[in-house]
Amino acid sequence: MKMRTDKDILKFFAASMGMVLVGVLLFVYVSPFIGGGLILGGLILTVMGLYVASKPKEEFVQDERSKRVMDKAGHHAFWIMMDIVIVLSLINQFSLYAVEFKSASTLILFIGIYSFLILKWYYNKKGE
Amino acid sequence: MKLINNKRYLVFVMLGLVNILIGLAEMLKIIPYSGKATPGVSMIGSGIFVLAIGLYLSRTRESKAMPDERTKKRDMKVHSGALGIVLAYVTLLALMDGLWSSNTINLGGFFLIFNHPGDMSVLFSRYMSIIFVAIVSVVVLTVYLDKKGDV
Repeated sequence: MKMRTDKDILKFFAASMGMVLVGVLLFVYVSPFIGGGLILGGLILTVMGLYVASKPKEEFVQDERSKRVMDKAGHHAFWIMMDIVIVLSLINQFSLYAVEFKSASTLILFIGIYSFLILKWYYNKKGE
Repeated sequence: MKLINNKRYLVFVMLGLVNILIGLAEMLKIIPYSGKATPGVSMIGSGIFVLAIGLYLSRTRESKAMPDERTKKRDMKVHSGALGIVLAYVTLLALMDGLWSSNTINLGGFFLIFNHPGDMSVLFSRYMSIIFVAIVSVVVLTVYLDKKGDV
């Protein structure tokens, strides 16, 4: 199996290895939970990098339509996420109950990521 | 004054009126003051500002007020990029919260505004900082993509 060794792939591997290294340091010195997460993420990225490196570069070049779908999904996901943040901020300011960021951060992250993925799927299906 | 019916005008006018009403309600003690909120007068101020934008848009033709194809494409690209930045920022904040709550890391007073949520003013709350980061990244990306051309 022939592997690509161009600049993009090397950068990708350097980033994933860096993530694993930071994860190991955090695992030993700070928090095993966060360190473990980073190590896992780094390893997944390494596997993804190996897969991408085994395919020709042209296979991963996005066409115009996919780019537009990504931008459109990102645009709407951004506004959904910002609306959630604004609503949480207003609740935090005006109500007597404080919404702690620690609990809300997971909600914001999930809404941001999943709305992007769902909208991407929807626009892909819908077409122009 | 002739008002032209376009979508943006209605949204801005409604938003401005709601802001002014909330501000008035807070000043007249109709809704209780939580002790954390910005005073009613700033709510009224922002309401008047938004209302003024709405009224300006109402006098602008829709073809002029609505963005052209290139601006629309640029905006989508900008917001898509800003989504990534905000997600990374929220992750960083959540990570810092996790680290501090477990008392495993201490960065001293440098991140004091993040360290004591109880002492923070509304301006420096985490939510406001997310909105601030989003606005700055949108402005910077817009300027960059405008300069770069070819959207």
